[in-house]
Amino acid sequence: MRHFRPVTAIVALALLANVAMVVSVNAQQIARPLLPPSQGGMPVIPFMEGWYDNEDGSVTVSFGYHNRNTEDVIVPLGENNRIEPALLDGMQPDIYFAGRHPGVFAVTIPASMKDESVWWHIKTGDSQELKVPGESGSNAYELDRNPRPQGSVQPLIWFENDNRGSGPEGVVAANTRSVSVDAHLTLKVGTEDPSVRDPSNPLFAKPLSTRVIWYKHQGPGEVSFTEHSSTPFITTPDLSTRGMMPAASSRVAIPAGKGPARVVATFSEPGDYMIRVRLDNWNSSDSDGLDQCCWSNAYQRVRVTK
Amino acid sequence: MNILQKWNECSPLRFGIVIFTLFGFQAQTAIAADFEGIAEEVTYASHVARIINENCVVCHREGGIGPMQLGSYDHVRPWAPLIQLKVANREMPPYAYDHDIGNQNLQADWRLSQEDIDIVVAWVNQGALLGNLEELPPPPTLRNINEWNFADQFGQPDIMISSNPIDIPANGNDLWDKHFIESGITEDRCIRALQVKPRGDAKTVVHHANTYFAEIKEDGSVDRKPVTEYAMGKWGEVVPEGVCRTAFADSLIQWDIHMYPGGLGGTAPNAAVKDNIVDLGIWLHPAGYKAKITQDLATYQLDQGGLFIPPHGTAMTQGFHSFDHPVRIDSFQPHGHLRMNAASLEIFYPETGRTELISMISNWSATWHHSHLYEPDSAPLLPIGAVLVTKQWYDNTANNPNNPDPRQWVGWGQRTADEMSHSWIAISHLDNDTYQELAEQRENNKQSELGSGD
Repeated sequence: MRHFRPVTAIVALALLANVAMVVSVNAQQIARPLLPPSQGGMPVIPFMEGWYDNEDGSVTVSFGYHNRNTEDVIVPLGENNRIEPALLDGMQPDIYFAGRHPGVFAVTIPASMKDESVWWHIKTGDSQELKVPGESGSNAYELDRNPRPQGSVQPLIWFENDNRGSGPEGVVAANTRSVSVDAHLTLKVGTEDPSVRDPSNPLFAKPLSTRVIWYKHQGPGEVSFTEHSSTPFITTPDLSTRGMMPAASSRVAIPAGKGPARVVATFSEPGDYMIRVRLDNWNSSDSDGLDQCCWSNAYQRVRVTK
Repeated sequence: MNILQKWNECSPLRFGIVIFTLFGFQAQTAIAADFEGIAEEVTYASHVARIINENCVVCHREGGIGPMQLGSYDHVRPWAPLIQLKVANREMPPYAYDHDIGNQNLQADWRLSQEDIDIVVAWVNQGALLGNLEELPPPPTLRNINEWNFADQFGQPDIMISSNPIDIPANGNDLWDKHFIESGITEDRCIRALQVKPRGDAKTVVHHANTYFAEIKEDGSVDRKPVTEYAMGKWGEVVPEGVCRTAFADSLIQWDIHMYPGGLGGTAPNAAVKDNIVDLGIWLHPAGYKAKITQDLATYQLDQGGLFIPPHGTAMTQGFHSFDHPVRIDSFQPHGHLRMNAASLEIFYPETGRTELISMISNWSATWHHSHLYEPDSAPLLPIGAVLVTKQWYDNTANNPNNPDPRQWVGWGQRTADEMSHSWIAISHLDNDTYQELAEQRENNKQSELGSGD
């Protein structure tokens, strides 16, 4: 099943980003992009971003993807979109936005299964099934939660009255929210970036803002996000992850990296949904999505009724 | 231990040891059959010591980055079969650049001559004998292992800038350290040579260390131009005579250092490194030095956005660049990571439809990023409209000894486990008159050579 939606603005930004990427720093040379934009029908490529060795003996594996199409792609959870072993299935998205999206979800392998591999299988339309393994072992894919050289760490995110969490596995809200179709549901997360940076470095003379982005993660219908008056959307262009990730419209800046973010969500169809909230500090010179630091996910389940 | 846990110990060199252990006899037999040209007795003392002293000992010595010492016969003899294999296959010295095609006029070319290769092969085939001690050449005069590579040529650098120290853990995610240091440069000057030098164990954990002349604007954005690029194994850069590459006055130096915890290659410490520091040395021309040709170093991108290497698969990228004025290509340094295994540089001439292969590197490795410096009198000259065509190849199969996990999809990213696809190319920018002058000079040289019968 494929799902298309108007993406003119996203395409334009993606093309701009691509041009920015292929043009060298030497303005005197003329870039010649090799490939025309994708016309659709391309598979979603699954990426195993890396693995974290946890103190309790478990292993957390971070997964992301690259949708090479210019349209969003829907792949419902099930035979064509599954994690094996099935015990660990369920946190992967069913909607794939255009471009590269690192660390969209994570799977934690319990200590009792530490030596096992998890596999993410995904089959887009008529394309062949693609799959990647995740496990502890390869040094090249080992991740950690230590401060980066300029102090960036995974920021903290939480839902009201819930525990704080961080990293790609982040937190899942303890409570499922309920709302009816087309009604407004205000979602709120608390955020704090505990990164300690050197203020004598001219890049950090002023505290950096962090960013919250709201995404539909799972669910049968469309989810629309409109800004909440307390936290207006960012309207400036965004070239996150070096232009490989088209800008999401539902972006909120958190001044000085501390404070709540709110958004108003509406749902087009009844059913069970999951919203993903990504909090990142990619304004820092030592933090970027493709460098695998530093952001945190939070997931809110929503039951939508008629 | 899981074999994937040991991947970074599988440097090309160690891989070679394994291969030799498994197939050494067959390989030696094959090499013996291929190199039967030297009938005279070849000994370490009479022939081989000179070759090894001049080409190997600089790294293969106590404290050097080579995993074994090769400073004496006793050191060399146990490794003779492996040395033969590596030398015959042109894997050592580690300067991957195809020898039978494209521009062969390179400065700082580490490759052995075919004659020296034949001598080493014959020596091992004859039993790797010591020979007459009286024929031994004097031991090599080795400069301090921490000395600058251009010290003999240019003395000490005029400017040395060290990065801030940083501790690198034994394992974990790649790290990027970006910070600023005052350059101390008070007037624009022309650069003669550059070297970036990680200290001690930093050599195996510093994946790259780029430097930029930087200015921080009021809004916090950074305006920057490359000083030089360093990636693992790089020797340095020399700017041709008559060319000015500017060291900009009153600028900061921005360090952009990518570190790989645990290290990469045969001498990787697989341990924490305390106080990792990288030094930048800049040799300047005298104040007042004038040159009508300007040079800059820049990255030339291939199709990085389209770089997707499937599990157990291969991929290739291409990049195309042209200029609105004539240029000369002074150096070429392809960049990639663990899956990249080959690169080339071509020039396409639209007026004739002809494509000229300039450089081919069929056995590229991420542990040796050489900047191939073309001799100025034969460096490629590009008229307006000519197109630089860069190509890079990737191998994500188990056949690639550097591959950390052939089951993964690999795309663009800065991490060592991800891939990149660009080249650092130093370009001399020419006006039409200078281009004509250089082209005529070369034509005259060619006619002279033909006339002299050389």
